[in-house]
Amino acid sequence: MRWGGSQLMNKEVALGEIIVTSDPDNLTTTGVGSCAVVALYDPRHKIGALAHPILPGKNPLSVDDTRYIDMAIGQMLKTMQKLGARKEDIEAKLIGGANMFTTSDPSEYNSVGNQNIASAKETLKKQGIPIVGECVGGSQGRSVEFSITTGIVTVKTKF
Amino acid sequence: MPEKVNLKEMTEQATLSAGRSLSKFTGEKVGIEFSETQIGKLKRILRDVEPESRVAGIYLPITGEIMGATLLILPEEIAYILSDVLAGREVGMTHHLTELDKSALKELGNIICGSFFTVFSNTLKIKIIENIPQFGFDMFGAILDQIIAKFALKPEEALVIEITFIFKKMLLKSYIVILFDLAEIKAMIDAMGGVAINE
Repeated sequence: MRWGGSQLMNKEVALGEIIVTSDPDNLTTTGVGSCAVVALYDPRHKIGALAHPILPGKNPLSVDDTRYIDMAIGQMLKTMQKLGARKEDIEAKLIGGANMFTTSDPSEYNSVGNQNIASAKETLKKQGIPIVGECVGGSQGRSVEFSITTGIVTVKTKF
Repeated sequence: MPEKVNLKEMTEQATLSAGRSLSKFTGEKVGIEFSETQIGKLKRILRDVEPESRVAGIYLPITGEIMGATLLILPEEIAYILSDVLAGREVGMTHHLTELDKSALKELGNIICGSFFTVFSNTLKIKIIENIPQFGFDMFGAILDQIIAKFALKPEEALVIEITFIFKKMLLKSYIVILFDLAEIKAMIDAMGGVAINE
C-alpha cells in the first residue's frame, strides 16, 4: 500500500502478464524457472515495464496474448511510449531461461529455457532495443525486483 | 449405461497401492493417505505453498494414448525425511541431498505416480506409458514455472491431489500434480458417464 504518495509499492507481475508504469514502484516476479523475464527501462523518463511471458514467439490466434514473448515485448513498448517513453532511449535486461530439472534424457527439457531466451533476444533485436544486462541459463530458480526509480534490476537465487 | 468414474475411489485405490509398494521398497511401514483432490488452475490450488520455498519436484512425462505428466512435489524438509526413510537412515540425519538421495526420490516418484497411472489406465481403459523421471530441487515457483511453460498451450488446469505420507506417527504433507490434455481426458470420462469428485 502507498502512504502519502512517498512509500514504494511492490507490484507482483504474475505468470504470463506484464506491468508498465511510470510510478516510482518496484516491479517484482518470483519463482522464475525456464521462462524469460524481460525488463524494459527508459532511464531518461523513468518509465519501466516487466514481463513474465511463458512461451517463445507469438500466438498465431491472438494479437495481445502476453503469455508469448514477442507479444509481451510489443505490448510493453507500445504502452511505455504512450506513457511518454522514447523508443530510442529504452534498454532491456533479461532474466531466466533456466532448466530446473536434471534428466538423462536431454531432449525432453533442455531446450525450453534456451528457446525462451533466444526468442526474447530475437524480438528485442528486431525492435532495436539493446540488451544492457542478462542473468540467464543455468539450473537455478530466480526472483526479480526491478526499481523504476533507479532502473536497477536485482536478481535473487536462493539455493 | 457406463458406470460413472469416481475420482475419489480411483485416488483411494492408487494411494493404497502406492503405500503398499513403498512399504515393500523401504522395508518399513509407510502409509499414504489423500486428503483432497481438486481440478483447477495450478497456482490457485497450490497457493498455500510459498513460491520461494524450496521443494523437490519429481517430474514424469507420460505418453501413450494421452499426453501429459505428473509432478510429485515434496517440501524440502519432507524430501530430507523421505530420503532418510528410503536410505534406511535414522530420520533427521539428512540436511543435503546426495546424488543417491536424488535417485531414490526419483524412484519414489516412479512408485507413487506409477500407482496412479495404473489405476487411471485400468479405469479409463487407456494406454499410459511412463517416461524417464526428472528431478528438480529449488524454488517451488520456478519448478512450477517450467511445468506451466511446458503445458501452456493447453488449459492451465491440472488435477492436484494432496497426499500425506505416514511414517512412525509423522504426517508428511505433499502434492501430486497430474497434467493431462484435459480436453482429451474429459471426452473419455464423459464417454464413461462423467466424473464424480470426492463423492
